[in-house]
Amino acid sequence: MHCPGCGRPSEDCPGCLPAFDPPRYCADCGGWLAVRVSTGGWVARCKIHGETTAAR
Amino acid sequence: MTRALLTALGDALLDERRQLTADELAAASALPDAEVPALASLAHEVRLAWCGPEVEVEGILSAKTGGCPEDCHFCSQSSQFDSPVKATPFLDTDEVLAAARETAKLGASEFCIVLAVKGPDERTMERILELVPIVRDETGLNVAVSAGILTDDQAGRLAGGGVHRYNHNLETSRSFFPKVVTTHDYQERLDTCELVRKHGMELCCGVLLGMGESVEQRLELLADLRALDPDEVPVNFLNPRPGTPLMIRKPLGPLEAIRWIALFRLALPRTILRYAGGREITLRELQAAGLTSGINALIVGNYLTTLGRDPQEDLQLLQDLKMPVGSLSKVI
Ligand code: SF4
Ligand SMILES: [Zn+2]
Ligand SMILES: [Zn+2]
Repeated sequence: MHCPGCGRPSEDCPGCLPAFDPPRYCADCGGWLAVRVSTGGWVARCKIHGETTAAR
Repeated sequence: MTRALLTALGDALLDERRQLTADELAAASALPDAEVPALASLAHEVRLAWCGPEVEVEGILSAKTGGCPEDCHFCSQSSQFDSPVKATPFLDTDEVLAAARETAKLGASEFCIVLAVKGPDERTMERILELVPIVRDETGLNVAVSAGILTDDQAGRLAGGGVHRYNHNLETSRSFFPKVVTTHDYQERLDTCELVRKHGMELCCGVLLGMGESVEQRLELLADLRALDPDEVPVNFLNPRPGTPLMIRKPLGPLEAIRWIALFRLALPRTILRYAGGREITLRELQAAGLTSGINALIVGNYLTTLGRDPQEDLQLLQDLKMPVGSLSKVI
């Protein structure tokens, strides 16, 4: 697993994503996510693992 | 002394219905912390007297994220900093429309399309002009745009293309500006604000508090805003962004934030004063307090690259405060 705030392996970063942020890096591979934020949710896309969405 | 000052401010704004002087505002800014609730309560009265109980609800969307050549030191979308926000190209029409529909479903009246650019190039202008009528006609929302510094011709085309309100922030005072932006200057921002005015769009001109500016500099900013007389002022609080030069700053304390919301209302009695980014981390549990200190508009839900509160919590809060949701615009 990887830190969604910086993409480093979880052993190296226990989690640095600020409270009101969507993920910036893929939890599976640590790859950089393209994130689309809208009023009611967000969609984060990893080149390898595809899209993750959240209602908020 | 304190009581006398609050009474004098109330007389000026509520009975004489005149704007405060710079000295009166400076005196109000120096009130002790213990007087902030009284100051806030006066600001609430002023808001009700000058603007009424309605609250304008807006959703915003970053339609082109990151990769901006400018160096605004607070911004996670500048290409000059090592920010975890990945740059993404202009969203498709369907994506923009879906986001606008999400906003409309909440009962909002405004939708702002925001682009991380210094100013729009021709392709961007064409995309904006294509999107604005589609979003407006499909959702019934008033469509605002924020696309940086404009030329005279561009401002005219956006106004003609149905852009109802244009956002261009001053962010901070002229004297503090060079500490946080070096790639363009304050005057360029003022010039764009004037062009928005000239071409008949509503002007939305926001601020960002908590970047290290002094009390005097906040008062200076208020004086500049008063001279511009924007239709709307979104009040942002710094949310220190990873990788940016301002990441080390601490967010403003909640009481200081309430004090400045109240002062903005006293300085700008008839302006739409909008709750904007950073309010969650700054005010924490005091979200209701801003709405009874002069705020009469809010951005609901998420922001450009960060998340907000659940929109339903804000809508419930408005209901609890008996503040009806409505459009405060003059020109619809
Ligand atoms: S111009 Fe706008 S998008 Fe670009 S760095 Fe400044 S605040 Fe960010
Ligand atoms: Zn991390
Ligand atoms: Zn992945």
